[in-house]
This record gives sequence, structure tokens and C-alpha cells, in this order.
Amino acid sequence: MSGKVKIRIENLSKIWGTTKAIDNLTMDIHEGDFLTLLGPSGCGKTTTLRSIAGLENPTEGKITINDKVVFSKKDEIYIDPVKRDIGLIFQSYALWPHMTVMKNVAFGPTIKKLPKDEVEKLTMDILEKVHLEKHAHRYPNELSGGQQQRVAIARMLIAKPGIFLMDEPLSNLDAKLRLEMRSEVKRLHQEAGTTTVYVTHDQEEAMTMSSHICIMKDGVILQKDTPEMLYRKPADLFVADFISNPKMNFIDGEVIRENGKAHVNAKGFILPVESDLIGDRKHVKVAFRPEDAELDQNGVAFRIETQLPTGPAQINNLINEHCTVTMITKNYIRSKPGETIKIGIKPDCHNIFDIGTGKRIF
Amino acid sequence: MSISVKTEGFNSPLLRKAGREIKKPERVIGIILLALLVFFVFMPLINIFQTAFTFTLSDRRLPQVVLHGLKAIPGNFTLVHLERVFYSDVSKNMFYKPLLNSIVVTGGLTILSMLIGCILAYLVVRTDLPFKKIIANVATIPYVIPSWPIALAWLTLFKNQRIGGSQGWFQYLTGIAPPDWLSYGPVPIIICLSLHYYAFSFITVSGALASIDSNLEETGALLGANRRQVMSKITLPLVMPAILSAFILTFSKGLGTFGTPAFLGLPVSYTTLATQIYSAIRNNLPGDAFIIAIIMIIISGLTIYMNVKVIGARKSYVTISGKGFRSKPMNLGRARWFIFALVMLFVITCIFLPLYVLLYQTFMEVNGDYSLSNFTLHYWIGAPNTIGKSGIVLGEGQAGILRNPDIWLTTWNSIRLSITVSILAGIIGIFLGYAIVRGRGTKLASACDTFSFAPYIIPSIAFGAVYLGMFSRPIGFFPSLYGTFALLVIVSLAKRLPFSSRTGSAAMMQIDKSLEEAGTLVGAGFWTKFTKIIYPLTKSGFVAGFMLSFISTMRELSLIVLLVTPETKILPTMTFRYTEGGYHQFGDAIAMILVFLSLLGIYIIRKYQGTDMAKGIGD
Repeated sequence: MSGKVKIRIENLSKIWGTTKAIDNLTMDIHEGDFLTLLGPSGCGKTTTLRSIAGLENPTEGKITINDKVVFSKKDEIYIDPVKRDIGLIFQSYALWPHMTVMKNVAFGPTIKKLPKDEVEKLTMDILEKVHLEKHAHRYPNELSGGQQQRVAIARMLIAKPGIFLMDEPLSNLDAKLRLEMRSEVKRLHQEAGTTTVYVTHDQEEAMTMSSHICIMKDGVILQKDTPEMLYRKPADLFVADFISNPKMNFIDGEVIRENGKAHVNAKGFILPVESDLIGDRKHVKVAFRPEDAELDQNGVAFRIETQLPTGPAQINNLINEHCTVTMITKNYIRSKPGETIKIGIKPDCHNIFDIGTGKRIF
Repeated sequence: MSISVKTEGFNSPLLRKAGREIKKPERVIGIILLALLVFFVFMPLINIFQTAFTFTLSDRRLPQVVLHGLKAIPGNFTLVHLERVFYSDVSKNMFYKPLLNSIVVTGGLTILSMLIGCILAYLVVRTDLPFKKIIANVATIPYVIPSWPIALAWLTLFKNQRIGGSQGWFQYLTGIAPPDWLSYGPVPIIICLSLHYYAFSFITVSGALASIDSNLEETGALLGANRRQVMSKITLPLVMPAILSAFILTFSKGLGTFGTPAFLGLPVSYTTLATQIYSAIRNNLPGDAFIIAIIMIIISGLTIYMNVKVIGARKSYVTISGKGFRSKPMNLGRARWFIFALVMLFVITCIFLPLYVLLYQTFMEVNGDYSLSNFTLHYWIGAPNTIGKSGIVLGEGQAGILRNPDIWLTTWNSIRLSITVSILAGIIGIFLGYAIVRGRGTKLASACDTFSFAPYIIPSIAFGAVYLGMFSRPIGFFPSLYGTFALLVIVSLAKRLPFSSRTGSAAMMQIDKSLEEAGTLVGAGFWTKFTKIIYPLTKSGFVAGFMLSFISTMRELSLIVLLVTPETKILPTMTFRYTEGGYHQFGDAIAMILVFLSLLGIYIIRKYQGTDMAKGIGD
């Protein structure tokens, strides 16, 4: 369910010297979306976010926010960040160390020359909302990491932007706090339904929070989809490998044609394929998730190498002369390491990729 | 990054683009600064070459001009100055001898002061010497006070009557006249300058030593290296960059120094390149002076080039004093107290003895009589035309310095010069830092960086000479500045540019770009960001830089000696004139005021915070 287009990015490129940080990127972000830009460092996700904010001057392309062109190289249009209806949280929070919490949050309204008592009321309201009203007169370095994070949120909220931009806002927090803040950020999005663009390299963070995820690599979008589709139907081998906790199984497969029908033999796993999609390929890559492997009397034989119980499930690392496979089972299997078991792949749970391009065939 | 720009108002894309480019703050600042740098740094450099290879009016009287039958039309190209300096009957006295003397003096003082500085640094940082903290603090004092009062003190102690004038303290006590080589010339010059310049290597090397993790050395020892091997294979290579930086710094400062060689060399006609430039300018021979200046710049540039080659980075002259690591001090054993006594003796000799001698001399009615019966307060507070015990009019009728309005004027000149320069240097530094750090990667930023570094290689005395030549007449709409206070301010600012831009860049580097961008996001314009965010965050560095500028401007003699006029004289040049004229008590008393003001300055710095003295090195 997508509302109207909130941010439209067309043919955006950013070139630093000879490297392309963003390469001809086009994408729509809809009203109410929680879109996460996900990818390894250097993939262009932060540059894209900063271009939307107006902190970066792209080399090529056009950005439209709320149906208003805020950047266009062709027409030399550049609208100041403050007029773009956005709020941004920096990875470092960028809290001014020489100002109190109160002054940090009130900075924007103050320089807009709002009346003093109005600024004060506005600021206290926001601080109450993020539960920092007691710390209004402290300095940033007197606060914990989580509290600093909330000051940054408050500073963003006070201008009532229609779009939240967040650049790895949780990466400086410790693991426990990160989980807490994750739900807080998600609640922030849900309460107002504010369109949010979120940058992270943590795939779990992306999966748990986003309505849509955009996987980027070398300045290009590889796949923009819902978290579930990304997990189930990765567009190519890179995405399949990147969205991988636990890691996906990859096995070489050979296309076998008999009586006009085709199937794939992946080191003993026999998988049905659609002839017209597979074309005349002879070799393909077969991928399936560890939880999509199951015990099967008619399956392929593997020796159990190690077993790692995690509580709710059990991770089994399996090996035979051709390949290794990771299998996750809810019920602990009885066989012990060193023993041999036979496994198969659950129906319709496998993906088949082209070996040359790495793209998913189906 | 673009700042608040009303680009929507423009109709043509091209105009919009132009409007935006112009309003990028780091670019605007960069362009303005670059224009200033070209005017105040690059043009003087060009001017040196121009003057060196053209005739001036005064050249008509030169024997070479007469001999060759040259017309010597002012402004025309000529090689006559080159000929005079390198290949004429005056070359030996004008250039080759001073060059040799300069090399001997600068080489000698560099080696001696490096030895003193490094040994002292090692003792203070790495051994169990008693009272290390106090010694470390006291040992940096010579850096704060000017170098030439030590020379004055040396004169008081060791002068002989051969040159004329009175006897020194040594002769008064022993009855033996010190030989000339001890009274004047290279030996006292090298010793006096080393007692000042050792502070450079001491501060730099002790900073580097303190930042070495002793685990690195312990690992060496665990692997079987003995103490000497650890020293030569691990410790020394690690502090080598610092040692080389200190070397370069001492060498180029020593080369351009004027005061001490003038006090201790000129009475016996022992000249160096620096004093030779001074006399050439005094004799109205700027062409000759600038040929010598060019040679000094080349020597100085070569040493820096070698430094860069060896260390591998242009900015290697900056010491990075890292965090102090836990380190195990070396046990000096039985020698501990003996070494402590030696160090104390040294510290007392090079800091307190000169000050004591100078102060003592200011209370002497007649030069050369060191007995208590010769005591007088006249040179401090005496009325004009006082007749002394021996029936002579004291100080040729001049009043004591505290009652001399001229001295008060001069003191005020010194103070207001130092304050003006320090404030402006700080401001320029922040802007330079902004243009260099925020514009990093652009040609404009690196041009600003390079030009602001250039004054570093121009010896002070030569820099002053160039400014004298260039600004003594109007340039376009820019009025003649000779004899104005503004000229002193500008020359001091220009010479301090390397330091200003270094501290400014360091301060800007501390401020993450996002702190500024967070301001952009809420609509703060450049000026708001500058006053509300950037300035408050650089303030502490600003204060420290201010005090260091204050102290080094206060004591500056070499740079300014050629530029002062009776209205704009400052304390160091006043001392120089009095001493030159034989009024030692007055000269010494003024030097004492200067030392007092400098010490007051350092006291304020220490109060403000433990400012890293190393940051101010080289100014």
C-alpha cells in the first residue's frame, strides 16, 4: 500500500574525481514509507541521503520533494536544506558541545527569530516527548549515548519536518541500547506516519524496521523491495549473500533436459524448473535458506560436521564430497556429529541464479 | 556546501549557478585570503628578485657601475649586484666571509643546542632524575624570553677593554682581560644562541619521547637487545622525525637571527649574512641586500627540502605529541644527584645568571665598576641631568627609564603591537583554517596552504628588508606605509602566517563537518554558523594561540629592526639602539621590562591552561 510519491529521485549521479559515489540512481519514496538504504560502506547510501537533504551537490540528476523540484542540475535549481521539509540525524549526532540540551534543540527556532517564550515552550514540549525534560540544562557530554541520541531526535522533531532522514543513527550505541532505540525510532515513525529514509549497513536493523529496503552497491540500486521479498526472492547473488543471517546455501547446479522437460541437478538435489525461463543455460547456481532444508529419506546424504543449538533451533553444518550445507531445524535432530543424514529442500523454496550475471532467474 | 542562498529568484540557470558558486563560504574566504596572500607574501618575494636585479638611484656611486661605464637608470635590469656579491673586490668582505661565518655560527649553534636539548629531554622524560617536573617547566623559559638579552649579559660578563668602553665583570674580579675570542665573535655567539635555541629541540624531542609507548622498548629488551641496541634501533628511529624537525627549525631560525650576532659580532667586524643584510640596507644598497637575502632563502629552502625528503611529509616540522604512556624510567643509579646538580647548574647559568647580570648592571652608576659603592637607581628612576658621585652627568643627561616618557611610549608601542598582531593573527588563522580544511582537495585551498607557508623559509631580517623596499612607496591605491604602525603590524602578521594557518587548521580539524551542517539544516547562514558554532568551539585554541603570538611578537627584533622609525620604535629595537650607543644600563633596563612582560604573558598562559608550548615553536 503506497501513498503518493513524497520524494522522487531521477538519474542522480555524484562523482568524486573519478569514482562514482552514486551512478544514475532513480527511485520513488512514497508518503509514509520507512525506506532503508542498505549496503556495504562506500555503496553511496549516505551520499544519496545527503543529496536529499541538500548537504551534497550531486553531479547530475533531479530531486523532487512534495512535488517541488529541490535539485536539478539541468536547470541549476538548488533549494536550501531548511526549505526542503526534512530533518536529519547524523551518525555522530552532531550535537553542539558548547550548548546545553535546551540550546541545542532551540537553535533552529531561535535563529528563525520566534518569540522567546514560544521557543521555550516548544522546546520543553519536545524534550518532554523524548523524556529529557529533566536534562534540559545539561551539556551533551554529560549525557549517556542513548540520551544524546534522543537530543538529536528532539532537535530534528522541533521543526516538524515532513521527512525524517537518519544516517546510521544507532551505530554508536552499544548492543542493548541499540535494540531499545530501534523500537523507539520505529514508534516515532508509526506515531506520525512520517516518511523516513534510513541509512544503515546493519541488515538486521534494516529487516526489522523498514517497510521497504533498497540494497545498494557501488552507487547502484540492486533491489528495492519489502524486507520479506528481499529475503525470499533476492534479485541477485550479491543481495542473496548480503541478506544472510544465517547464511544462504549456494550449490552449483546442472540443467538436465529430458523429453522436452528440464530439471536442475544440484549435487544430488533434483529441482524442477520452468524450461522457458531457464533457456539454453547448462549451469546455474541454486540457493536456499538454511531453514528451507529438511530431513528427507529420499534426499541427499550428508555427514553432520558440527551441531550448534541456539535454544529455539539447532544449526547443523553438513558436508559431503561435493558441497557443504547449513540446515536449521526447529526440532533438534537425533543424529549426532559424524553420523550421516539425508536431506531435501522444501518445495518452492529455492532460488536459481544465472552464473554469468548473478541475476535471479526465478 | 552551499549556504542560505536565494537562488530561486534568478531566472537563468547560469545566473543561479554563478550566484551559488560565489556564495560558498570556504570559497569566498579562500579567494579573499588568497588575494591578501598574493599581495603580502608573493609580491614581496617577487620584489626581492626584482630589486636584486635592477638599478636603484644610489647605485650610481658604486665603483663597479663607474668602472663599467654603466648608465644605472633606476628600474633597468642589471647584474651588477650579483657581480658585487659574488665576483668583485668587495665580495670577500660582503659575502664570502659572512657566508662562512653564518655557516659556522648556525651550524655550531644547531649542533650545540640540539645536543643540550636532546640530552635534557631524555633526562627529563626517561630517567629517574629528581624534580623532573620543575626542571621541565623551568627549561622552557628560554623559549619565552628573547635570545639577545643573553648576549647582553655575556657582554657585561666577558667584554674586554680592547674594543673600547669599560671592562667586564670577569676582568674586574680577576684582573685578567679575557681574550678576544671569548669576548666577541663566533664562540660567544654560538654559546649565547644555543642557550636560547636548545628550548626548541627540548620541547619537540621531549614531546616525542613522551609519546613513545615503553612497551615498544620493552619488547626489544625481551627479544634480547641490550640497552644500547634498544636506544639505537628502537628509541632513536622513533624520535628521529622530531629530532629532524627541531634541527630544521633551529637551523632556519638561527640563520635569520640578527640581535645576538650584532651585539657580539659587529664590535669586532665579525659579520654574518643577517648582519650584512642590515648594513647593506643601512648603506642604501638594497640590491646587494636582496642578493644575500635570496641566498639565505635558498639555504633555508634547501634545509626544509632535505627535511621533507628525509621525513617524507611537508608538515613534518610539527611534532605530534601523543598521549603520555606509562613508561619505566631509566635508573641513573649513583649518578642521579650528580646529574641533577649539573642540570640545575646549567638551568641557573642559562636562565637566571643572564637576568641577574643584566639587572645588576642597571644599578651600576659607572660601567665597569662592579662594587657596591657604584650602586645607583638613576637608570631606573633618576631625574634628568643628574650628576653622579664621580661628577659626570649620568646617561648624558637622560632620565631613568621609568621617568622617560619616550620609554613609556615605546612600551605602549610594544604592547599594542603585540596585542593587535595576536588578535588579527588568531582571526586570520581561523579563516585560513576554514578555507584550507573545508575546501580540502580544491586548488584554492592548497594555494592558500602553500602561500601561507612561504614566509617560513624567508629569514626574518630579509623579510623585514623586503617590506621596507616594497611598502616605502605607494603601490597603486595602497598608500606608502613607511614609518607607520600599520607596517609593523602587517609585517608581523605576514611572518606569523605559517603559525596562524597551522593552528587555525588544527582547530578546524577538531570541528566535525556535521556540527556545521546541523546548523545548515535549520537554516543558519554562514555568519550565524561562524559566530554561534565555529568560533565558540575554537575559542580555547584561540586564547592559547593569542598568548603565544603575544610573546613572540613582543620580543621580535630581527624582523622589525629595519622598519622602525622614532615614532614606531618598540622595546627590542630601543634596547638595540641604546646598546649600540654604549648606554648599557638603559639597554639592559629596557630588556628587563621586556623579559618581565614576556614572563607575565607565560604566566597568564599557564593560568589559562597547560598550553602545549610545542604549538608555538618556530615563531
